[in-house]
Amino acid sequence: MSGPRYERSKRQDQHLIGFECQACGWVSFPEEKRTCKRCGDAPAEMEEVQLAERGEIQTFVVQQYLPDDIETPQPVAIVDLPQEGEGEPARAYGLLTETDLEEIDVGTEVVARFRELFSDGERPINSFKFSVPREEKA
Amino acid sequence: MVVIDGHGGYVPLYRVDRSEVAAQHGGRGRGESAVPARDENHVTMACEAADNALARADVAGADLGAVVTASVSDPFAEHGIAAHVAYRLGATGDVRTTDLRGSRRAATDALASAREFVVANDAPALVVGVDVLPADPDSDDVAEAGAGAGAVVLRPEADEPAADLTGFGQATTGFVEHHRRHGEAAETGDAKFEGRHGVGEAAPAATERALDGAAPVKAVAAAPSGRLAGAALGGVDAEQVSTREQVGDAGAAAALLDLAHLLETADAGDTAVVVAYGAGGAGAVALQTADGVGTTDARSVATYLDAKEETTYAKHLEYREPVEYEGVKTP
Repeated sequence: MSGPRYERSKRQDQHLIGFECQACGWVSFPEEKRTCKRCGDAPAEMEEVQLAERGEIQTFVVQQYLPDDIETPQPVAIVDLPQEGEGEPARAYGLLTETDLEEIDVGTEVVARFRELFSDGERPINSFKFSVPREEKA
Repeated sequence: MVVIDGHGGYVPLYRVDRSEVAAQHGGRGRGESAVPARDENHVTMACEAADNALARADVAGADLGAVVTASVSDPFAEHGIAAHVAYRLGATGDVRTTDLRGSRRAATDALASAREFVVANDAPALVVGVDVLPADPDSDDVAEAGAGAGAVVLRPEADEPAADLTGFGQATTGFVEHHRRHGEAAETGDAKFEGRHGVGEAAPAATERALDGAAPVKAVAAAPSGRLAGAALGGVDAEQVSTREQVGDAGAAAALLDLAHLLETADAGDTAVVVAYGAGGAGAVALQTADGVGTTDARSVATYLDAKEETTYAKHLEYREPVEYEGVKTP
């Protein structure tokens, strides 16, 4: 399929759809891989799975030095998102938003937040970031 | 009969203390205004409110027949909000989407339009109001520029609805005093003149048509200022439910955000009215609350109001503007 990547992966990016390898159970997100990255099955038989909008930080880094117009510190995390049904979680890479550094650690539960990721010209492109649940800010 | 089967609101995390704005801008400031984060826009905020309403209605996005949005601050002439909210929720294909704008009456027009869709098609409809008012440092409105979203799910019937919609009314007068170009500060004109000939002629007439003799105990009003919102309910002896003190001016969305707050805090069996006054006239919706009121199954407006972080006047201005880095817009 042609067109920009954000259009090609719009379903995954806005609905948190993952792709489960039917040979080993590994879940690819957001891309549907032709070769399973874990068991090497090729062409891999991938089945769509719905991911939960709540997951757990596995690791994170904090970006301190970014262009002036991007707010820092900017945490970036690897988050395990469980499937809505049975099966392994997907390992997602995402920016954290509205989250202070003292609020996060490995193992912190975060929720998916639908946010503007970037703009294509004037047009906002929305997808998911992560944050601590809003009620924890009270 | 059409019912409200789910209700939900959304208020951004950040708040600016209006006294801080007043300290730099002059005048007096009381209360707070909600400030959207740099990575929030109309579609993302509308989706937050819609998620809460759908959770309470236990309706899947894919089952919606229509999505109707109301906004007086959509920055795009062509782009829309409703279709993008619908897509995010999974409501694609044979789904009607409608973007209403141009007046704060859009909120009650959206409820009326969705009700007609539900009656005609026997399918659920989602109504969302969302606004981010522009904060212009040259304007007297800069401290009150707020942001928020509210949503309700309308259905033909439900096991435990939050409310029955009992009446609709409107009064089209063609009167315009408060007006605003995209992204610019509003021209407010003579408040006394608007009070007498604008809201004074439109809101009571619309309200009377919606209530048809019923006496409300709770009410919400959307209008360009707190004073006009109070005037819009001038003929109604009811408790006004309003988030304006904590959220600021949330445009047309104020009617639906405050309606969600009302449905979360009201008792079953209350008569209530929603009034929206803006350019061209007023609209009103009467309702009777039912057993589905309350805060279960989703985040409440009260939680959004309590869970907040103070920010600065500079961020209040900056977060509403896209930022460019070497020609590329960044959130």
